[in-house]
Amino acid sequence: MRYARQRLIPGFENLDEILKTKRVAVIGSGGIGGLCLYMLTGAGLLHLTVADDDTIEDSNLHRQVLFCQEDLGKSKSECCKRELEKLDGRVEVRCFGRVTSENFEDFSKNADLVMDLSDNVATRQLASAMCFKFKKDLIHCSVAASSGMLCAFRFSDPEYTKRFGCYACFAGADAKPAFRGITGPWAGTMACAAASLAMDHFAGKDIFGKLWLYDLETRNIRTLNLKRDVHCTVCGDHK
Amino acid sequence: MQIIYNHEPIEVPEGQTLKLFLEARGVATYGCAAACDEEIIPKTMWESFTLKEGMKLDVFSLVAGG
Repeated sequence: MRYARQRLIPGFENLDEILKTKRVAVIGSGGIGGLCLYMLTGAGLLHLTVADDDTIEDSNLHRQVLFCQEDLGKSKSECCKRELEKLDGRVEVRCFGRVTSENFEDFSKNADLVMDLSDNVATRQLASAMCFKFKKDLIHCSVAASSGMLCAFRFSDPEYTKRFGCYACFAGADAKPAFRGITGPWAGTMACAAASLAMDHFAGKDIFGKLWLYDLETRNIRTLNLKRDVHCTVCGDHK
Repeated sequence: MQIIYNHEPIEVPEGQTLKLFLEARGVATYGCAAACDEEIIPKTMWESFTLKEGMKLDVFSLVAGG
């Protein structure tokens, strides 16, 4: 039976039963998103919304595991949906294009969790601000070269936000990360970290308030505590 | 006074702020985040945040790829 090995893990005995009642809205189906979505579908998550307005390019294929060379030029979200349906015919995938402030409420409608697995800081700032606005819990996962970041914001709980803040609190409104290249295994490691964090969340573990920094070259992970910026333009006192 | 900066002990002037410390080292503040003693220092506080003896300061690059 499909989930037999997963059910042997303490705390995950009925995780697949829980996951099939949940909806997750994911931004990005590329280097992190593709494998993360595959892992979550495999774990039993059957209701997904996937936002990605990209088409598949040759330079994607070394790390974006849901796609192959026959998919060049095709829609990433549609090919993602196709591959997830091959994995589990029961999965229901709603495809979306680019998320904006105008369509975010529709995108995240009925979602128990939003996952920002996008590839640019503007979308990341938007995702955090919109999830704060619509009180959606958010997992943020990002990677560039051998550096990875993983954190979760419990925007459904106002008391959480007063303590730990949002993405803009630590990144700043003017964040401009440099573009630095990536390998397949590094992207894949962060994809699995994001999927694992989502699974922990639905299994009832507290995943919020921490920022994990991954050094994928040395395999060292640091844990930091998030802290709200009272002057934050998104979640601060005078927003 | 001495602080630990990205795991290395270094000497810094008494009363130096985080913003001035980073500017002196040529660190572009729009591309990084910072934590002191394992807690994030919010960006808008960098100008007023004063470094103290023995602080463990981590400054790391922001990443946004996916």
